[in-house]
Amino acid sequence: MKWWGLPAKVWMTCFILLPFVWLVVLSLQTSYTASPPTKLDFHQFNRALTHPYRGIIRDSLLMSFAAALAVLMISVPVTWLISRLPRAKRNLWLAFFTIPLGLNFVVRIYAWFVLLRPEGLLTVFLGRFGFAIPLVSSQFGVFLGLVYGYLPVIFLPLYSVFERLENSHIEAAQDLGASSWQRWRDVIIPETQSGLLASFLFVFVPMLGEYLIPRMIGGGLVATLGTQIESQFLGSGRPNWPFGAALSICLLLSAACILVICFKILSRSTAERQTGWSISHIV
Amino acid sequence: MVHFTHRLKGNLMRIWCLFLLLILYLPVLSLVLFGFNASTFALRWEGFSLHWYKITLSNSEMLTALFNSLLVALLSTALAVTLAFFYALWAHKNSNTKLKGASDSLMSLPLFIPEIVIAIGLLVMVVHILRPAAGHIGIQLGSLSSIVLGHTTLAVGYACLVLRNRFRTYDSQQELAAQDLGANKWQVFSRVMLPQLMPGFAAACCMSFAVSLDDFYVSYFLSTGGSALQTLPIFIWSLQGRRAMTPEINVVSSLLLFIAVIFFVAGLWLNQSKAVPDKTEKG
Repeated sequence: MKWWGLPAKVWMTCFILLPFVWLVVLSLQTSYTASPPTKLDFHQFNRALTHPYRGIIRDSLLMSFAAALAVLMISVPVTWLISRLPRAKRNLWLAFFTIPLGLNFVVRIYAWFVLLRPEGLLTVFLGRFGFAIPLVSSQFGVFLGLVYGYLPVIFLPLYSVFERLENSHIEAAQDLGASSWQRWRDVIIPETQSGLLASFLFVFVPMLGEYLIPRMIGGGLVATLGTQIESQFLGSGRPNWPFGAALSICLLLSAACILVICFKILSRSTAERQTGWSISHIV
Repeated sequence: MVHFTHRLKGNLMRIWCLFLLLILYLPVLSLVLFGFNASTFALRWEGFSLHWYKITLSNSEMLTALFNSLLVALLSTALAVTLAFFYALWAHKNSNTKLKGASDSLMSLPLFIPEIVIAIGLLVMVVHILRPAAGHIGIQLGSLSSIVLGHTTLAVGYACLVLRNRFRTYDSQQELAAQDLGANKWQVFSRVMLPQLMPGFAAACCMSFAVSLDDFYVSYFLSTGGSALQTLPIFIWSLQGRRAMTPEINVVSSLLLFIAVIFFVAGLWLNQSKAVPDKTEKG
């Protein structure tokens, strides 16, 4: 019994932790050789944080942030409504919104991409009303792709956040004469903020490293962290693994920074209100 | 239930829900519809036909990719669930909460790290360390084994989560009771533990299988090199990359969708016919 947990732990150490260490080692090399570096060299990181790449990292952060926020805002009313339905009906409605998750990610994004193309339904429809914006090969198109791709992902975590919210608190607020806006501002959002934040991060972090969506919808014209990393490793040009490794460490670090900042802000504002939420509750 | 919002506001929310459902399903439905297109191109509608279904179903490349996907999913599910099951048993018996917390976070790493970083880590690991090492002992580490390895790593995280959740509601008293009644170790395991854990076990299997089937990044990064193995998502990706897009991609996608819907309905039905409320489900 004592050693039963060992195989899994060894496996994860070998295939998750060790590769990270190796990526760090790789990113400290000036040029691509398979041997460990002889001295510390931050050349690759310098390059990652200067002209074209600094802008790309910033743009990716901003775009993922905006897209994750949009996903959250869009899905809050829906999950709220579902969580207040009679218990018997909830599962059915939740299923309607999460069935798309059962469909392959590549297929889902392709289906959306078809609508965004110049001759696609959505573009034609918007064109009729005078919004002739290019939705393919543009930042906005990639943004829409991110929103569409991660919308079904957030429903379940967000639903479980709202489901745990006690009706009695809201009823109390209502009895005391709170308007619906006040109920949201003073009761619902404060009580669920850690869950909302966790749901937000749950889509934000994968968006940050997204390669498939920007590549398919951006058509190679929209550069994000994901597409840059891919081209450094598998690109048709000259692959540069150390630089790719440095970029992916930048990706991890920025995700970690945002995670830490978010939870710092949260723990300060909920110091007196212990709701007992953590990311592990929503997945 | 209390009516929280005015009727008008409630209706607005309902309209928003329906609009969202439309947005979620419209791309997918149009994708399926265009699979029945008689036209040579994916874009213009020229009448109903099963022409492209015939062509796609006799496409040996597609069938190989489907077979590869299923094989990889089967192998990695078996590996991942075994690892996760023994880990969950160990964690259940162990009383050292600190150690348990640390190893739980190690296990859940694949859930929180952007998939692209895991994929790159594995690529670097396989190319720099595993392939040379396996070469020394005379084993050829092909893309099948490396993809299985990668998918297992991803799936272990999800399987552990599901199984650990299941163990939370596990009743250890029954084991003691069985021992008192003279059951030996094997009888306790097979008659008491397994029946209690079966639903969680099945859920973990489904989850791992779905994770493996849905995965794009790990297969994409690890399928490069000499004898590349194509899984279904990679095949679809390569179809999409070709300039002349034919309805084949629609057909493959629709087939995947039909499979997904069947599984989903079956899961829902299984869930409802079970008396015990199951909180371990995700995605």
